[in-house]
Amino acid sequence: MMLSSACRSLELGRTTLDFVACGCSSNASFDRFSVRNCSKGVLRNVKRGSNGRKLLCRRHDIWRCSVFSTKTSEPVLSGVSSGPPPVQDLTEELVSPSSIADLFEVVADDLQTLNKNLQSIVGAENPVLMSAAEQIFGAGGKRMRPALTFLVSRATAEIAGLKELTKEHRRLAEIIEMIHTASLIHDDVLDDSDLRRGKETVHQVYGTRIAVLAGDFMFAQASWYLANLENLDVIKLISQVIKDFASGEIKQASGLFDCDIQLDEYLIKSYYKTASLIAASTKGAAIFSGVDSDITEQMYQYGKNLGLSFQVVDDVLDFTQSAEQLGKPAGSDLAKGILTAPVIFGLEKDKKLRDMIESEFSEIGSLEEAISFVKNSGGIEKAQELAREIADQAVRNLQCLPPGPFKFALERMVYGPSMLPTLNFTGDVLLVEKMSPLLGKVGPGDVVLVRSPENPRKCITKRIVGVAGDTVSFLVDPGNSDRSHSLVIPKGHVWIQGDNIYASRDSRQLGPIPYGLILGKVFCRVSLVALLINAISLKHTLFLFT
Amino acid sequence: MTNRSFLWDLAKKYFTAGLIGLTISDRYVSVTAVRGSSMYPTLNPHKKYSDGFVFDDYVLVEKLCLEKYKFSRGDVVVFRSPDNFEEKQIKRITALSGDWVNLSFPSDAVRIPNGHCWVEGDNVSCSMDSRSIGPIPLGLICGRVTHVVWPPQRISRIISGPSNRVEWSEGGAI
Repeated sequence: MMLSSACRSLELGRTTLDFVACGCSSNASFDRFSVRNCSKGVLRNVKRGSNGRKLLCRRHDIWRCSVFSTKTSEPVLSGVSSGPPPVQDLTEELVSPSSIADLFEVVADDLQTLNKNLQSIVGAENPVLMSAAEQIFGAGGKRMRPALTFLVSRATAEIAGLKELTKEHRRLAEIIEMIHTASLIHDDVLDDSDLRRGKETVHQVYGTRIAVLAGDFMFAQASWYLANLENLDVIKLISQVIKDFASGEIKQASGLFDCDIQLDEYLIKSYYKTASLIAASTKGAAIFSGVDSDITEQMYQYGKNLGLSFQVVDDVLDFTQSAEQLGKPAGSDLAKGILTAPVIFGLEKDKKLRDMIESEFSEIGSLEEAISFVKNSGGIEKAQELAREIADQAVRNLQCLPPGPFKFALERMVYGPSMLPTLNFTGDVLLVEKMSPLLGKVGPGDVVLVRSPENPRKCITKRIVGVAGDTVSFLVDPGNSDRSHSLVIPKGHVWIQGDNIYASRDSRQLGPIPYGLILGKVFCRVSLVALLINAISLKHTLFLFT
Repeated sequence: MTNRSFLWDLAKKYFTAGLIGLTISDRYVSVTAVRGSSMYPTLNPHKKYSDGFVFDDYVLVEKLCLEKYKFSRGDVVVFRSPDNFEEKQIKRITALSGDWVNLSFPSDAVRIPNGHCWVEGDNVSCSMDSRSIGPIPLGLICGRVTHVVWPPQRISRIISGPSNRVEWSEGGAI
């Protein structure tokens, strides 16, 4: 009698464990998702017509499930039991900034035109200034801000019924890139850096005076072109940005090594440094499309949230990436006294960290100690959480846009190449639901567990990006955006791709994957903390029963 | 009352039996029907169009091989079709990863990539197999056919026959 009731409670406990772990108990401070959201992920039907459409993905609710740690995946809703527990080949999903390239496919032509125009727009007034400008423009760069401008322009143009982008849209993108470049030139002078975008910085080649003047020149040129656009709202918007750049730098410089910095001060400073330009560009693009003011306001908020989340993730990467990946020693911001989100969160926990910072790292080895303190105090996780919240807010701001490739690219900007370590699968507990593939209900946007075609004993976790009949365009080498391939996914196959296109071995190398290799759909990740809490409460429940 | 508890017991028994049956069929061994004559004369060695389902072979499919995915050349396997995941096909593995297979048309040799295998039906003239769809990933294999269990006069073991397709094998002797 006792035994059976104990067994029953164990069953109940396990189900509860799975769901509550999925739903995350309210005790755990990082978890904020409810069971409802997770079950929504399970019940949501991914039904898509497949009529040879261009590659489209759907952002899906995996983001809504909780985060973090430990081993193997557990089949939960197993109608058909699996074989041995799958060995997971999990890549660490640190996304790199340059993986933006494939998102910009939709506006690639606009960017090409922009590149050509930028060369001519700088003006032939002074050869030295021109060659200085060429030095930095010629070095390439992701052109992320103009690409964002183009994406928002095209997306809002659809609402307004415009077929093509206006001259003003293009000029706005050029202005944005000029302002951004000018700020980079000045930043390099202030930081005294040697390399920018793989080439020598302007002040290395031409000297500090030319560099400062070249930056001023570009700001001035940008302002002149801006004035010629003759739209007062946009002029006010953009001229504010130039002022904000300076404000941000000054705020930062005056607050070095100041341990009393609060999170909102940090966010304001990040806004001035990064988000202000992006927000102004997205709002300006919407204004030129001629849409209503609530949409332009939403675009402004989108740009602002996107910029803030970029900045927070950038600050996190400064701690988490190794020196080779960053191109400079890790923790360089901290060394200069710039206190970023992970440090601010870490300071809440650690008194010793405070002392080390206030001593301005005078002792040898204190910087490395401080970095490891920050890592151990959970500051990085909290910063990632913050970035994710802001990113979610950014996506909410996109709701006013009509669905389409541009809106999709804007959404992906937030979660994909925004450098959010979106799905850090290494050592995670994943709840995989195995009924969906058998019923044919997995589709684009789903994260799935797939048997590797190269080694049937390995299972890899990737996202489905296209189904049979879709046309896929992809870059074989993410670092080299010239070689792009295009193919149609054959019948019975899917295209999978990891979020980190640098470190991911997926359909770009393996080709389309037969649908029969899909094992299950990942619908939840489980927090270790929630697991532990539930394990403890489960024990108590068992004691109660027996 | 007794009627109800009897029904309940019966239901539980059936449910348990069903679960056990499902588990065994999924993990260890199951029986499946063979349709078509692409494996003539090994399976379904009767004339086409003249017999009904009663005379189709039923085979025993074992799934223990899926633990390690270690197959040998000449194994008859059941796999999900790469073009249509709902369809399962039965063919013989004639070459494994690393082997080079000689294609008659166009006449060149294909190296089978890692984690893939080359399957062919015994009835070369009417078999849709790797000669048209290419090597298939081992992950698509659902089990290995070991015995024919129906019709009774045909109960026998399936022999892992030799292959004559492999041009050159990385593992040395074929």
